[in-house]
Amino acid sequence: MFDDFYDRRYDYAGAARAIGDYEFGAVVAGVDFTRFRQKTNSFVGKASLTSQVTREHQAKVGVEFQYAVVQFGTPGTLTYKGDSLYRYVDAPPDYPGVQTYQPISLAAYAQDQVEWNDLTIRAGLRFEYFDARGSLPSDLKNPANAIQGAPTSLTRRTTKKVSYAPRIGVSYPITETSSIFFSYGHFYQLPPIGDIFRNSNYSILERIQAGTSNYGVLGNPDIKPERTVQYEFGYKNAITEFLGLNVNLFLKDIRDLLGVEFVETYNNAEYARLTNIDFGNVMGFTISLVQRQIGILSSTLEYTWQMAQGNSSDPNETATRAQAGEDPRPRQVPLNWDQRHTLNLTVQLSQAEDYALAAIVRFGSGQPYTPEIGSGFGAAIEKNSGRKPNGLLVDLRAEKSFSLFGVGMSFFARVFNLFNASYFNGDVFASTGSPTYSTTPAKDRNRLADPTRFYPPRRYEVGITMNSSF
Amino acid sequence: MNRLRVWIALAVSVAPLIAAWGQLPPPVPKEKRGRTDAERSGFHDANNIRTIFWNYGMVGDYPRDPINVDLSVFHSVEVPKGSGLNYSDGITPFVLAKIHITPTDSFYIMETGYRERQQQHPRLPIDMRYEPRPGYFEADPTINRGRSPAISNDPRTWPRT
Repeated sequence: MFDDFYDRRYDYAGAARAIGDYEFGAVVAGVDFTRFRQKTNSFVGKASLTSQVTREHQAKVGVEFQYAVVQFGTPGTLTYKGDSLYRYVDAPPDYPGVQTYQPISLAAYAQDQVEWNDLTIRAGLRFEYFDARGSLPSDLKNPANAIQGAPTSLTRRTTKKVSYAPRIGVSYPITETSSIFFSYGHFYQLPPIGDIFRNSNYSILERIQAGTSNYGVLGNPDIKPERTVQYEFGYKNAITEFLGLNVNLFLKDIRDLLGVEFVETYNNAEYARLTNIDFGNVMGFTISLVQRQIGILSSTLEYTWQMAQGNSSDPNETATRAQAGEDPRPRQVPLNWDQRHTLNLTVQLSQAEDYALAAIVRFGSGQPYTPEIGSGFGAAIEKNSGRKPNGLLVDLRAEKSFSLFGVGMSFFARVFNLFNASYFNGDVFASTGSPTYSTTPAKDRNRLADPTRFYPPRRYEVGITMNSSF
Repeated sequence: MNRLRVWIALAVSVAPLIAAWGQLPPPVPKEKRGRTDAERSGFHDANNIRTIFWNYGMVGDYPRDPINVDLSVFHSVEVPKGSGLNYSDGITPFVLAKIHITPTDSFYIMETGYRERQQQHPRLPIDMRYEPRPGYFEADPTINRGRSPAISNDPRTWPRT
């Protein structure tokens, strides 16, 4: 709120306060005591080399190195309790200050593209290395080594993450107007450094109590990168001189998806932490028709069907059942972003270097949500077993080029969400599956009063673009 | 002589305080006082009732995610046992004391052992509620695998000393 941690206005105003349910619990007095610093200095080095080694072989090699100095944390905690305001700059374990981390990452790759007669082969290998250079408690059930009688929990270094990602792609013309291709590859992706290191000082759990949740989700410097193994097969055909057809089949196997697990400590308290818990797979196909410009008209039509599923098992339930020697009951359910049908249509009327008028139509079938029946214990039915409504959006774009004082310019006008749709796979109420109403309006009154749950309304943009450089 | 009078007056005035101090019960040694890391939960499972209980003073509980709770593993005063019918949130005694500051002035303090809405410690990020004293259950989780407070029908939960 204020730059200076010792600003006297903190003392005068006090902590943010609401008066009962007045104005949906809005803050009516005080100031926000939250103070947070995140600062990252990265030293990045990259080098790459591309060489046409022979007539058939083109080789690429490269290396990337990054050393980061990351600072996360609270540069001073204010707690205003009773009549006194307490200030702590760096008072671990309860009020740790800003923490500094120095992770190192390294990547190297080599690729060879072979063009032999009509056959094209692209093969490569990428090596990735990440060392968070952080630490974690050796026994997560005794996170701050402060539980009397429990096994000792020492601080252990995070492990180095090494991965090798092979990739190969082959394309081959089968007739004069058509070709096929397939590709196979491994891809690794680390979560953002912010997610890894945020709140990753486990010593704050020294006084953890059952039933309380004062600590948020703890970070995890020992997180593994998400791994995707992707298979793709495609077919391209020029149906006529002006019409092309593409068909793609894809399958992705995703491991080590990020998630949150709840860890139960030896004193039966619980805390949440970031971890790799989930796996999923995506399969589907895309069919696209591309119509090259005839006169002033050009268009594309693309349809995708996909099914994205992942495991779903309440970590708490899993732990309890595992302790009892029972099957933890993992099951596959649609992932949150499982949009089965996607249709994109673009129609454009244009004259090169004169004008362009385009309409973009996007249709998306409903993504999953978890329905509820009533509002009591166990009201939710199977996770992601409901479907949100379908959504349709239309955008218009127009551009007219002209010259003014010898400077090339263009006037543009854009309309986003032409039909003022209020919904496109956004927030819905679990009791109805609708974005507009709930069967428990008293419980949901804050969300009902929040207009940001709707899709942004129609928006116009007009402007002038100068195309020349000075 | 004057100094002697001062000492006598001081002794006479302090004597009742010393006598009163002597009548107070000795304070619990620090290592035996209630502490957060001694919190444990167990299951009472008898007389057709099944319920979780906590040694910080609460019988029953409220699930972390009540909408998605699995009633095959969460039991809070479930009657009859196995029915999935939980009859209560957490139950805890309220202990209220009236403190006399002077013969005409007094105030009340109250404490309980509940899972939420407790007074926060003035400086530490903890709830101020009853906390269990150590030594009344087996703290070693390799022996007390359920990490339960001592319960009569399970010797693994009994303290060794």
